[in-house]
Amino acid sequence: MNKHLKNINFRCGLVLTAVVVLAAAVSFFWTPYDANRMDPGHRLEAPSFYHLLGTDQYGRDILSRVMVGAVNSIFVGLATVVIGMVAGVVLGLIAAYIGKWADESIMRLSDLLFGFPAVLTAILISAIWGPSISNVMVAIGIFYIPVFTRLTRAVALGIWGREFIEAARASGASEWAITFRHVLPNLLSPLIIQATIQFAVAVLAEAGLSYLGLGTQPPHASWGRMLYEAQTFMEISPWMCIFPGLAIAWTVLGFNLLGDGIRDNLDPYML
Amino acid sequence: MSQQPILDVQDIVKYFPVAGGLWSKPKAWIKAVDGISFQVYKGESFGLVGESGCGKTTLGRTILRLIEPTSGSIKLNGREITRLNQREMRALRRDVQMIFQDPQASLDPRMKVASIVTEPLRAFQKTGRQQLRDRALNLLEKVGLKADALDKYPHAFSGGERQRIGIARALCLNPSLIVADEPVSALDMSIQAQVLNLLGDLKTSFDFSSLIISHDLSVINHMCDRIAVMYLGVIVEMAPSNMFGRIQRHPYTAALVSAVPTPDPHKKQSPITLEGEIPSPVNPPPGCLFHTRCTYCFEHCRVERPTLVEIQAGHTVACWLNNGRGL
Amino acid sequence: MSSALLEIQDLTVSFQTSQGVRRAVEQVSLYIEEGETLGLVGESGCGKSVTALSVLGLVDRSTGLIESGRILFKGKNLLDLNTEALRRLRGNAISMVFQEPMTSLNPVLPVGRQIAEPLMTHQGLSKIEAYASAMTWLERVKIPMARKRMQEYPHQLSGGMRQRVMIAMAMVCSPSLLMADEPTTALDVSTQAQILHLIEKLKADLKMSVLFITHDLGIVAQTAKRVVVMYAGQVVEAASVTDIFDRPAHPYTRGLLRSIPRMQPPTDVPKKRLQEIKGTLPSLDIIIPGCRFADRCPEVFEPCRQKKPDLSPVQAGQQARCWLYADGSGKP
Ligand SMILES: Nc1ncnc2c1ncn2[C@@H]1O[C@H](COP(=O)(O)OP(=O)(O)O)[C@@H](O)[C@H]1O
Ligand SMILES: Nc1ncnc2c1ncn2[C@@H]1O[C@H](COP(=O)(O)OP(=O)(O)O)[C@@H](O)[C@H]1O
Ligand SMILES: [Mg+2]
Ligand SMILES: [Mg+2]
Repeated sequence: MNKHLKNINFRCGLVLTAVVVLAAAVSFFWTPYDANRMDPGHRLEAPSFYHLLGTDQYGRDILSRVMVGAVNSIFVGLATVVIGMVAGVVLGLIAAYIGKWADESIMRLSDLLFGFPAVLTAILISAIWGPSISNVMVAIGIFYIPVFTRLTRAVALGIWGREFIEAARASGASEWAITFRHVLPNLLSPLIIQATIQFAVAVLAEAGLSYLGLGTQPPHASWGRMLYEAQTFMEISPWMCIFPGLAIAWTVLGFNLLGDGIRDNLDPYML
Repeated sequence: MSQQPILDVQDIVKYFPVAGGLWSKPKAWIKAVDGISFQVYKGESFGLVGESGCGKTTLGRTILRLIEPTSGSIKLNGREITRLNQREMRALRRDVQMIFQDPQASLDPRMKVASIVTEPLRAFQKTGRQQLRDRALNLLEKVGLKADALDKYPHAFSGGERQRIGIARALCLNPSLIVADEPVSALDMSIQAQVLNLLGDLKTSFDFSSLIISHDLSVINHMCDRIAVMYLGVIVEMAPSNMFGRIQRHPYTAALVSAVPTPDPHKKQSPITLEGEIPSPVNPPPGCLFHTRCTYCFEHCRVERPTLVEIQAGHTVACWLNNGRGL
Repeated sequence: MSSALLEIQDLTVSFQTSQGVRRAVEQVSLYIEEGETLGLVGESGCGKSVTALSVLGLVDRSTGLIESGRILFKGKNLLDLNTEALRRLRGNAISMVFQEPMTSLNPVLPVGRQIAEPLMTHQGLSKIEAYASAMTWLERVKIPMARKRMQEYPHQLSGGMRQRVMIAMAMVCSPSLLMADEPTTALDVSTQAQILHLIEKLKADLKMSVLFITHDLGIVAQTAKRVVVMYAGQVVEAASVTDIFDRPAHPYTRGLLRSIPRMQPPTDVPKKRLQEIKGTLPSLDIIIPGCRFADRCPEVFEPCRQKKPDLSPVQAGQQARCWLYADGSGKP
């Protein structure tokens, strides 16, 4: 068996996230019902053979909506991590490499950003540009920049101090070559670990913001939005909140386990 | 020995600042290398030996300009390198390569052996994939590694094999000078001999000159044609190695040599024990740097630092005792 | 061997690792007589430290297992002792000095206190008596300004100084056996000479036995009376120091002696080439059916790869684990 798969965290994480990704992928071609089709005749139905996870107050199929919501969550996760990572890695590398004033200013700036609550940023952005899913992504993405900047800077400083960098320099490699051939590949593993964890946080954040009405706008399906709508019907139809809630927990757990698993596996001796 | 030295080092000084506060000036200076001059000639192995902290590594790295010297001149094949800018210096690195002490730390764990050993080549010319592989294969063969090593990562090798990889990298561009900082110190006893022999063989076939740095007198004595003994950032004695095992004129060299345990139970030693410890390079003693531990110390030693004086062809000593007399 | 102070018989220690079970020490037997220095020599990873740690019951409990063997100290099997009894032994009748003093000294306690500690726990001395004794010990190991040093912390001392403190700590209870595990490997030659001299002197003064672990053949030649050579977890040769150097029996010992660079090389060896031992050290994680040195041995023949050799007598007081000597004639 593959060495990586021996790790229990990695294996569980992989299975959990694979289910989510698969559900999202399938939803592009097929869902049991149209996720947004209302069916007044079947409102607030309990899970049954026809509606495996029940229906909501408009008679929409919850399974279909959870599947479509997965696309939404994955999209938010990906986009925010990409925004945060690209900007963060560039800034972090600049801070680590140039040092002095560049380091000082980049780090103070990221302190500032870091100190700014994400939710407040999101509210601010929605207040200015109006609530929408893309604004949520931008808000969370910006919030991620300092996370990746700090990580990149700290790890890159460590790598730049290692002897193999000096060996490369003594070999005649240029600073660009050193950055791309030595520093970045060695940065990759901590970045991937951080990315999986931030992915999980983004899923949670999007749910939270949508719950507050700042994120995904109706009628689009989002797990947070679904939870928000479900709260009024908590007592009569608990499945409305149980399943989106479960989906959130499932995804967050999956990506966190995956992150831990990768961390365990990325011992260079196991490559 | 031909006339023009491959490497000509004159009065190299390297002081490291002892950090003060964040914004303040340095409080003091670590005088790691404090005025060193020597030459390495074509085909020669020059050895630098001394106890830890005496500035060997700093000197080696300064010569490669991995560290900027505080002052002094370094000539490589007759060309002054201390004033070259980064680009010019990089071009010069073709000709001088380094072998590091720790074969684990000096190889990138995320790079395959084929890329590691051809790194110098890729730094200087655009080379096709196949050509790079051929070169790598050729180098690995030269250092006694099998072809299947090409696509492995450094962790798959033992310490001795990793050091061979490091040596292959240094040889990649046929440099005229190789600086080896403690090339066998991290290796096991039975592996040390293999690497020492390999370096000897390669020196013949690749025809490079070498600057070998080590704390181990027997290794230096075995490998080098000429040896310089360092103490607290300066050279105290310099002599050909065949002379070195027998005559030492500096009290420090004599103590150092006598302290190396002889692997012969019939020759029980009574080492010359040095009193006390090496003074801090931040606050080196005035006069002769060694006078605080020297049994022969007299008045003048405390006042003025002796310079290297030739007492015999090719044998120089920095000691007031040796201006005419001997130990 | 009734006069042996310490006798290790057929000690086998294994560790549970991610690669499986690793036999770090296999059937190691050795003895130390009263007042003698035994040199235990071998390359890193050959099991020297594990052997010494087993004596004091310090092998990592969670992964390590002493599979078999007996460790007799003054006739008593130490492997039968419980933790409390072992604790009473450590730093008292048997003490140990490690390679890296910084990791074995407590960084947050003044060194004086650390030297006084064993006196209070093992010998029930009062605090004042213990501190007074600690200070005389600091003077005895030649630490200048002992009174001032008593108050200092390990990081304020140089490497050589720390090793002196370690030695003082090991000596305070006048042990009958000192196990020195590469005590000078981290030090410079001139400091090494001082420490070797110190150990030699203390050994004579206290009439103790010393197990001197090292990888340096020079140190062995200069300090030990008898030598045990280990290779890949096994004892491959045991003999008096003069026999080891004059008439090495095992091909590994012979190879090792020929491969070290010397200040004054023997005349029969050309200076620029050493006689190296080919190949690399075997992994302990792979079970080798025959002799562990067979792959590197210049004298390998049929039985070597098939069956494990036992320690066979070569001559009086000399044994080698090699098929060359298995017929008992003592001749290859
Ligand atoms: N980058 C550095 N910054 C400050 N001090 C240094 C640095 N590198 C070396 N030193 C100091 O310079 C002295 C010489 O060190 P080094 O050249 O490494 O000695 P050696 O290689 O002979 O053991 C030591 O006192 C060491 O602490
Ligand atoms: N706690 C441990 N867990 C796993 N393996 C160990 C442990 N301690 C020692 N070993 C293994 O035992 C072997 C012998 O180690 P050691 O006795 O420390 O060697 P040395 O001769 O250098 O002192 C080594 O291969 C080492 O990897
Ligand atoms: Mg050094
Ligand atoms: Mg050990």
